[in-house]
Amino acid sequence: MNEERFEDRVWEQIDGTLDAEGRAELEAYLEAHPEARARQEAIRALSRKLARIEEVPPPEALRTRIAAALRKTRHPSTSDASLLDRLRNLVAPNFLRRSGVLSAEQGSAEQVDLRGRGRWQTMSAKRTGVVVGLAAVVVVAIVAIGYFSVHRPPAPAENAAGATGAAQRYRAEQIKEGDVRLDLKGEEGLDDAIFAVLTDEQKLDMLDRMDAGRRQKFLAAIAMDDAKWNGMDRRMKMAWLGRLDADGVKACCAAAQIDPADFERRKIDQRADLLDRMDAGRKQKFFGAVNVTDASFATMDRRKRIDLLGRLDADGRKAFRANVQFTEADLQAMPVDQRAEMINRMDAGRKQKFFGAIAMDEAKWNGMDRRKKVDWLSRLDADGVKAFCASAQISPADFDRRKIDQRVDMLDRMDAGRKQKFFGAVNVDEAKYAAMDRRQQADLLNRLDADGRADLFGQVAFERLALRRMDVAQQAAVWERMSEAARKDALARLNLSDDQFNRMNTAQRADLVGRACLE
Amino acid sequence: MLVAACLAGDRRAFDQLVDAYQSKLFNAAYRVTGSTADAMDATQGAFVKAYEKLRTFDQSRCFFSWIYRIALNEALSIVDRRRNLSELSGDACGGGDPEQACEATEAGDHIQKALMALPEDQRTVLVLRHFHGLSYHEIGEVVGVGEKTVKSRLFEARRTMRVLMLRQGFTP
Repeated sequence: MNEERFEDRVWEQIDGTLDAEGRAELEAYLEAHPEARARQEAIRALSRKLARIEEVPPPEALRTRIAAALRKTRHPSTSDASLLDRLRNLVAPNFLRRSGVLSAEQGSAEQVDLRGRGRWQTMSAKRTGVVVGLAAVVVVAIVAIGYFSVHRPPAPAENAAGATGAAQRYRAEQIKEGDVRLDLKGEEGLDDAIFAVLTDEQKLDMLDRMDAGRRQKFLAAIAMDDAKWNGMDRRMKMAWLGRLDADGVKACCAAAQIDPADFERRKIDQRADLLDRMDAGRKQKFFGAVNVTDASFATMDRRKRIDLLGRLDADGRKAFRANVQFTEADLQAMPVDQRAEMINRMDAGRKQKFFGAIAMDEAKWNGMDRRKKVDWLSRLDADGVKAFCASAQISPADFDRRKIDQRVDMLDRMDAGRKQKFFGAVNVDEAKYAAMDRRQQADLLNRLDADGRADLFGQVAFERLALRRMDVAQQAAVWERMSEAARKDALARLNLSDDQFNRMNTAQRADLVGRACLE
Repeated sequence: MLVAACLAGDRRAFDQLVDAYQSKLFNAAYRVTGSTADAMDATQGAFVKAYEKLRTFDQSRCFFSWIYRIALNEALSIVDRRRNLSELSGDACGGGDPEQACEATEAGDHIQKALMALPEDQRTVLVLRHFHGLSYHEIGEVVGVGEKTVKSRLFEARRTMRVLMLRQGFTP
């Protein structure tokens, strides 16, 4: 053992990490070199000295400086106070209090344990008492208005007819409100609710599932160029610059010919100035380095893709939603908490729309074809079945024994009063919703039929939207405007002969044109 | 829990994190930079960066290690900048400034003087071990190296420290 090793062993002894072999080695050395004990003691003294060094109290000004700096920094969560302020008047806080999301005491943080396995999410309220349900679960994919013809809708949602098999692809981890970034412009954030609800895994899966065309559209939508930069206001420029990752910063420094330390020292608006002052060539070089192309996307690993999604602004998130396909399987694969959260994030207006979409009354029932009646009845939950049995005056066992089309007949035969009582019991309003548990809230999504789900997730093609605006006669008349070839094609897809079609009444033809669009 | 609360929208949660870690981060930065002013800059910078990047923090890991790392990187960046500036200005002291030396002397802090003479990577591990009581594993997490490397740097730092203090005429 040499002197250096001896010192190391002494330090190990002080650290408490010296093993038996080391102890033996140390003892043997000290036996052989008694003068080394003085050095051992000197090392111990140094260790004691180091241990006795007191903490230097930070100057009082530090706390103030940190607070001031944080105030200028955007909060990492989605519950942006400024957005809460703006939306305060649009939301009924009483509803949120009744729902248990907001505590009676203003300003207290309410823990909402959504998974039962530990804290999952906390929603907090401003002192003035509004927790805004972040709204709008709308994923838009509307085809431009133009010549209407009955074609197969482009890339329809898989299982649009409503298959219930769960893909089980997702293991949803915590869903953090902080996953949503709200753009400085504000109200666009209303449509970010679905983005907020999705986990990184789910977003990544959707991104990976995008076909080449959609991905190109998406990447083009998030790309930056000189024209786009010059069209942005200052806040947007600062927000964009604030989202640069490390590679983006490097590229900016290279284009601006400054070093990273200099970049770091500059405030965000100074960095915006820097970019504004760059000549077109350097700007182009910089934007070219930060934009994601198909080729660079293909080389991105999982972490980089998640990071890309995390850096999207409101327009980028819109572009993402416009090009992803949220399918029935995606919905079924979502855990209860996530589905309930989706509904909870709707603002009051959209929630009403949602409740309206799942509500039933006699007029609506009578206007439905048999297939839709069967579909609707099959979606009744346990409370709905109870209500049905009460109105039909049958026992639950009797209900279970009957086939679904027999149940449809029973409902058809009910008098108006009993029907109204039944529909009243199954329809949901805000008060009823507020009293529901998570599972019941999540199950509401199952009550939507295919059209309702497509509308909710925004995958409503123009044709479907246009059809829904038409009355029965107008829908049936669509067949008259079709070319012979288009009609033949549509009937062939529906496996119907000319003769069968010719024997159909108006309502049946109207229903048929919808199926021709959707199937 | 505070991190989760902050991400969920509770702005006060991050204030609590600042209160909890401000002193520790300041001290770590002070021991690395040797300057109160630089330590304040580094601490402020660390909290701002942590706030901005909070979404990227893996909540299954130790928050302290994560924010410590940010703070140390801030401190080391300041040290680098200061060294570059002093090289440019022809400062023969190799990065130490008179104010810094003065602080150390006034505090009678031979330790701090010796610390400032250590290479940064050794200084960092020494500070984390002896001033903040982190284990080898925790130091490794903060600094981003394995335990073996931590041990090796630590032992080197201690050896150098002892020699420097002896040169200063310090006997504990």
